[in-house]
Amino acid sequence: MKHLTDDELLKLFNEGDNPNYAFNLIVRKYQQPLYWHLRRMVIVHEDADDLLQEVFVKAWKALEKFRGQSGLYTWLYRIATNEALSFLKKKRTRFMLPLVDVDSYLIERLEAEPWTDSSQMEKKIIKAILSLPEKQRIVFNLRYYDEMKYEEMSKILGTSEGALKASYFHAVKKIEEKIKA
Amino acid sequence: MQKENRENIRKELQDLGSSLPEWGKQPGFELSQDYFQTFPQRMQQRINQKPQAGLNWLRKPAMVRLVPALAAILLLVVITIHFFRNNSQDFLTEASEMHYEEYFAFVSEYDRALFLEIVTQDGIFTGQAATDEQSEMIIDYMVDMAEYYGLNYEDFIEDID
Repeated sequence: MKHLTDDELLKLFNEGDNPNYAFNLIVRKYQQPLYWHLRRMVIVHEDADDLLQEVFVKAWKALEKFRGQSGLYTWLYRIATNEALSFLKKKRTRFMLPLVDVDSYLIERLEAEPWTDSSQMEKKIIKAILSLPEKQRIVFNLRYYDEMKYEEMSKILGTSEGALKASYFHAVKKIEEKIKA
Repeated sequence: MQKENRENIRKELQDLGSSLPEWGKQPGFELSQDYFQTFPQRMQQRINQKPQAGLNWLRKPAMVRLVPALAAILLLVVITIHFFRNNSQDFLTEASEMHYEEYFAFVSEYDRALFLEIVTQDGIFTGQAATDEQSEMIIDYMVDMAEYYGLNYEDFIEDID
């Protein structure tokens, strides 16, 4: 199957006979990057799965009105990031715990994951990422794992490119220190 | 989707003196192999699902759900006020039914301010002057208290004044 561009997908969704089919193609195109983005934020598969579904349900409901100003990719990432942040916020409220305890909970869940010997370094990096402030964590993930341009990130997070660069540099330094410690 | 040139990201890390590995970018989390094959189908089922009638109230706007919540809070406040009013009425009823001696002991224990008022103005609680017997009892009590605190009776009176 030919890989359609975002514009072609949106056109197919808005003008084609079968919006369900077009939406299915969008899901297929973005499910993997969005899933991993969410999984790195919430750690637990079941939570990432629920959130991914919520992201696409929201996209499905709003896609009709989407004019494509920000680009489908940026728009979906923004929905996913907001979903993950609200999820963590709710968890904090539900547990009546301060931020640091939710982070401890995430680290516990990370430890409980079945890691192979070859993925120990990956685990170490993710653990170090979890010690970062939430916003810095997102910036690092988007740049390091999703290889996103600062310009795109700026649209998703509503922060200037300069601030994002500074945030990323700080994050890298802190992660290095954590890994070496 | 336009990704950043991987070489730029690698160079950026190098400039920062970072040793973060390229292979660290592989997802290390475990995930069932067919997850991404079945997800689009599950998603289709989800968006084609009709909302369940029984759960419609959960989807109502926040303001609509706020009404029963506010009603519950109001009810709780009314019950709390009622409870405290009853309790303070119990206190008064209990006090009014007591013998003078019991009342005095009761007040001296629970209401220091009222106790001092009784001591300095005889019979303030009934609006009538205390009898000699009652005044004598107050003095006895104060002598006991003075002894308890290791004070002279006169010092104790001054302390209360």
